[in-house]
Amino acid sequence: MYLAALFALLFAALAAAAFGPMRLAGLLTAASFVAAVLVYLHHATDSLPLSF
Amino acid sequence: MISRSLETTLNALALLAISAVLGVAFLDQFAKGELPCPLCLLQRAGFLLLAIGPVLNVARGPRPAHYGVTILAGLIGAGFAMRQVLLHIQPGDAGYGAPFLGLHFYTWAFVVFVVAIAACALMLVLRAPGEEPRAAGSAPVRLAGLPLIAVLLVLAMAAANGVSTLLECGFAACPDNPTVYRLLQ
Repeated sequence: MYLAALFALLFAALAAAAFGPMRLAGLLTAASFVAAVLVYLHHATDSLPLSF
Repeated sequence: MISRSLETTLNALALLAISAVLGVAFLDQFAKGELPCPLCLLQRAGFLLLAIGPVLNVARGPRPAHYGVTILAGLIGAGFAMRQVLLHIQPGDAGYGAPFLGLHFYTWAFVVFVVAIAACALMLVLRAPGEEPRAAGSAPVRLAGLPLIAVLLVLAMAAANGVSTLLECGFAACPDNPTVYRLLQ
């Protein structure tokens, strides 16, 4: 669900970047970056098999 | 130094390359029946983030700030891909999915994101100095020809990924190892 919504947001950001006003494109681009990181943090819960 | 028109053409070609990468992922998904995991889908989203900068460049004229957007997207996408590489880095781990040309898709994704960052750096070095032909924040130009095709192709990829993800995950969180399209059951 979150991932499908992220793709919808990215579609809107790309469409605004190509055809819409710059302010809307900037807002949707920023929202896409934030949403992508939030979805990543939601899914990245397993600990990595690493030791430094 | 490269002219602004060549720069725009190179950005359109970059969009075609991003669409090709997403197309190969789709081909693997449907031909081999391998459903993408959440991290795999996030890497696809990373490629669409990567496309925003070139779309801005072809639609509003090339600007250093647009390359900055692409570099940020490349760093985020590389982070997504690197996490999946590290999840399967232990000896004996078969990795997620079948390899493609000797490497897993997430390893290829990491390589492509790094190449995209390097390409942006190169474009910033090679672009001709001087005033930009269009003011910052100006309205988009009327796209035609190769740039229009490239933009429409990326938009189609974003829409197709949205629909495919909705079919795969339904209205709940995506499973770590998806095996069926939930909405088609």
